[in-house]
Amino acid sequence: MLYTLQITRRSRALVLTALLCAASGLARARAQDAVSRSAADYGARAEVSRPLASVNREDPTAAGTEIDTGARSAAYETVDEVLLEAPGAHPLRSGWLGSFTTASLRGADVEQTAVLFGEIPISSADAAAFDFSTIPVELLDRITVFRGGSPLWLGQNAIGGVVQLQPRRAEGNLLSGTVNAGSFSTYGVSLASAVVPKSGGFTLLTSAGTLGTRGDFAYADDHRTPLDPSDDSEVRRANADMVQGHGLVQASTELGPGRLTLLGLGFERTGGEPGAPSDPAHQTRRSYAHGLGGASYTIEQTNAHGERVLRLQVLGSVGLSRAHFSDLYGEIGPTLPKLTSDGTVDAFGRIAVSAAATPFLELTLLGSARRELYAHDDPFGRIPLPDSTRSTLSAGAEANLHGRIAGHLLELRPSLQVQHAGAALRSEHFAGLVQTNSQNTLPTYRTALGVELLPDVTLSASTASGVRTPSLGELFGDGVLILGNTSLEAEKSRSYDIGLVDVTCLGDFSGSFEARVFDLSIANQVVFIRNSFAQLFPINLQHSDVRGLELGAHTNYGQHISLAGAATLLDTEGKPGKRLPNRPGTTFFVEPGASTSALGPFDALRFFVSANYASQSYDDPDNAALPKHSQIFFDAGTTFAFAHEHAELRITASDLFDRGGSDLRHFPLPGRTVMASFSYREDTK
Amino acid sequence: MKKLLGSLLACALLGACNDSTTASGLSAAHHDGYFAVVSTNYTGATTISLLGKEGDVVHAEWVGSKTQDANLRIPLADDVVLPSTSYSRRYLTTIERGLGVVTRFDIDAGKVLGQLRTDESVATDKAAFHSNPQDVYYVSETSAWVSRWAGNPDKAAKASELGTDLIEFDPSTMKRKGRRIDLSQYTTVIEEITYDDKFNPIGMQKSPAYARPTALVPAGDFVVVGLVRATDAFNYAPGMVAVVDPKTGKVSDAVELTGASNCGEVKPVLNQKSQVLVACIGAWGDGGAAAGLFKLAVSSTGQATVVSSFLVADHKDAADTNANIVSLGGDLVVAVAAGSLDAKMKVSVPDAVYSVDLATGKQTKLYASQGAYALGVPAYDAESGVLLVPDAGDVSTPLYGVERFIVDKSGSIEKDVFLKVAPTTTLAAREVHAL
Repeated sequence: MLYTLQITRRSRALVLTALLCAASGLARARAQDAVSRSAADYGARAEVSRPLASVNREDPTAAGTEIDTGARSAAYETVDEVLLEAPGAHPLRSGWLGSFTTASLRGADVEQTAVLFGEIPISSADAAAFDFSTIPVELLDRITVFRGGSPLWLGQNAIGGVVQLQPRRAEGNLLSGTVNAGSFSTYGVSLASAVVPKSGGFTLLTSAGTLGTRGDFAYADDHRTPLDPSDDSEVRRANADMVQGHGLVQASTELGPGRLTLLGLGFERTGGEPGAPSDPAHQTRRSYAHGLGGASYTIEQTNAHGERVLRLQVLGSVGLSRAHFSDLYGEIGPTLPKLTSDGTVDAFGRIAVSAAATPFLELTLLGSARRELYAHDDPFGRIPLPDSTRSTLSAGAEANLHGRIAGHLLELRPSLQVQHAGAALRSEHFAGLVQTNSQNTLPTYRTALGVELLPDVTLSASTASGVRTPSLGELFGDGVLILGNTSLEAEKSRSYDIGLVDVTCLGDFSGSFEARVFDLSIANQVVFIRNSFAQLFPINLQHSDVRGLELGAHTNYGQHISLAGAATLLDTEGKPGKRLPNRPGTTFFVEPGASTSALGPFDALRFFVSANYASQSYDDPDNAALPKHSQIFFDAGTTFAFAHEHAELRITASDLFDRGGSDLRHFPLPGRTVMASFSYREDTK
Repeated sequence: MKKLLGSLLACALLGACNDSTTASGLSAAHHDGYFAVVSTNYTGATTISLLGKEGDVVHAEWVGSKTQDANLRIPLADDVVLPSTSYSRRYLTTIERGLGVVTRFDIDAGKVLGQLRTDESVATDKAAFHSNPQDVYYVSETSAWVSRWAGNPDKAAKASELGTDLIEFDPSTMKRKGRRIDLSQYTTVIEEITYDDKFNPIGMQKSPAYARPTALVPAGDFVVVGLVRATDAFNYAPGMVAVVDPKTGKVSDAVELTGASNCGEVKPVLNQKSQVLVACIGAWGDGGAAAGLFKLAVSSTGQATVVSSFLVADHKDAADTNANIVSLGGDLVVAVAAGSLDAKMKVSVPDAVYSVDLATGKQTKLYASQGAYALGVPAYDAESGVLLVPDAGDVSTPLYGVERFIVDKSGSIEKDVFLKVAPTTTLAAREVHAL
């Protein structure tokens, strides 16, 4: 069945929804070509076969939600704010701008979320959870959040799921600039350019920017004596300044039957570490920089019906990172000076191929290799630590059986992946060097089914397993108060989900909806136990279960009304009868928006309000402390578009009612903030 | 779904969904507690139970991080200990070491009397000084002392914030009084091994072993102060305790405990008001080479002498009884020998609790836990003959309570039953203190 789609120039969010409607999903790769072409060539016509309705373009059987980052409403946004739109995702932030930010998927630990930059893994088994604040949203085209099992093409077997950050690509000639300004002396400038010659072939995109803030918001200081109000005062957050810069270059050219793409990413941030609010750190500083360079060669071939018959990707990348932490007065944590420098080198390569073996069977094969090196230096450390390394080999196969049964489209995707990891790790234990070599081989599987119930409705169900190898910190501790455990086994999970996806167009109404129930069971979960000598040590103790319901919606009514929303209900159990910490039972995000036609000097005025709610949750595994309060934050913003929509002025107020609240560590949040951005762009699509 | 829709509707109508907690949550306990038990997971949750003289649970969770008072959430969360000695059964004092806050409760009235912050961190103080308070000793209703383990890395800080000292406060107001007993004179310099970047030993360097005052226990009119004397790398100088006069605020004596190190734990001797017990752990993993127990007597002029001692290294195949001590009177001490874990973090040697006769050197095993690093700080009530020892069990089969022992008039000790002190929690008991 072929549908014709016609797209007029509108915001990219509406384009995406229109595409979803027209194609009833983006799942099948044969549709992806048409979608990509159409998105790049607004006003063009293309014909695509209607695949299963889906809200991600990689796999309609997967619980994956794609969020377009090219059409945001707010003046300045971070990745964690975008992730609020993904059902099942719970972003966790440890402060304001520039602070560590991560995300839990379906109630799993944040370390159980894998993060990809395109197809390049940028989260690591040996690091803590990935810090999303180090990837500016303006470098991305879209974010896809896969919960539970993910398609083999991504090469991941994470327990919680995968967050795929798709780097921005050149979609037309472009020159744009944005200036940001906001509360607490926040400022920013960014520039982007893209070149896409009419003759096709070579494309080039560059993007660079900077952002800085003093971050010195006021907060109530109880002087660490909350029961003694006589010494309370309002003070400003000190040493919370930061400045960061980023750059992205992506060049792509046709080469032989495929396309060669080169990618370079750089990010650096330096700033203060303010410490606990009632115990401020005045001297402590930290900086972080990472760079990523990669090259990929991709061949995609379709048949006369636009159906993909071959997709081949060869990819190689090298990532470097360096983190400095300077606490010469021991202001943070124990009263010991620290001057640490941690570096990583991460080399990655993969070959993946999907080929149509028969009209109803597509086979995907994947092989990847990764080598990570960790170097730690601390002149105040008790002993010097030699470098640690970890090598990981993965291979997998997936079959995609697809066709039509009794008039209904159907896809069945069984897959198997095997990962072998070898690590040579070095750590300190009471001033002694601990050297351990570990080897483990971890198979995982996924079986997913998608069935077209109605032309716009897909029923999907899957079962999958996931693994996470113990991290460096868990294996070896910190040499002071955290004891390592070199015999830790990998965490393993089983997950099940079933749900419906609907992509609907009814007159002026268009929208996508998804609803799933899921069950996640994690064995050998690593938990830290503390003994009577105040030493923490990790053990494979916990068996935890998470059950939940996730709902998502993106809708438009005509060109003037929109609504984005996501909600997650979680029921968790860690210790027997106890809820897992930091898993609110209910979270939701809702963002209605409206826009006008030309009005006075403006081409359009756009408005949005949003509400972000998290119910109360415990932050200790025994549920023996008062739960954290529920929190709801309202944001609102407006956009003035003028100069034939080449220019936009956006103003956004966050935490409109100045609730303040606190972050993951009970540290205060800034309360109401205002950000404004002015952008100008010249582009051709 | 219904709940979600309800939440959405309520939030839309009310415009706010932030909870608020105002109730104090404490209840009056009226002299029915004889022991206080601290149970904690050290990761954000603590509860304190009050037990009767038989070890019976009077208040399973009298106060803790779940008490319905948001202001108690942080001061009773992570690293909470109780003072070595109790000023009165009516009062309970908690020390949050990481936060540096002392909180005093009136058990009878069921209320908080006040809070003391044990360090300041003004903007002019280069280091956000963490004093790491260890113990509190109440001299009277208007005078008490706190020991501060940590020294201030900023040597230019004002004297009151230099740390490695005792500071005085007024319990009636919970405000500092200004007096300070500097113990930095007991900081010394020891040699430590240095390494190259391949971890080959290349020589020795001199490092300060800071005094690190910990326990405060009265002996006559004086107070004995346990000193850990450790470097930043936790290597230890020879063991020592100091003796101070809490009335004059002066040091009267210091005595080196020969053959031992890491002597931070001090406890009273039953029915001997001028004597104290000192436990020395030695270095981690040294097999007891510098571990031992000492009984000291303090004279009326504040001079300390060793009355008797038990050095582990002096007794072949002796258990390394070096911590978590309590006096049963005379030379009889109950002490814990910490166990060990193998490379797979399985228990290779479990913790065991012993009675040790300092006069004869005889050790008698009373009980072995299922776990290592599982037995906590014990307490003994001579009137009832009840000895309580916290037991966390093995991590795979955790316990949440205390082991009860009965000590008869002849000094015979019998293991009795295990008591769950906070049965609805999964918090391990770590300390028992007689009120």
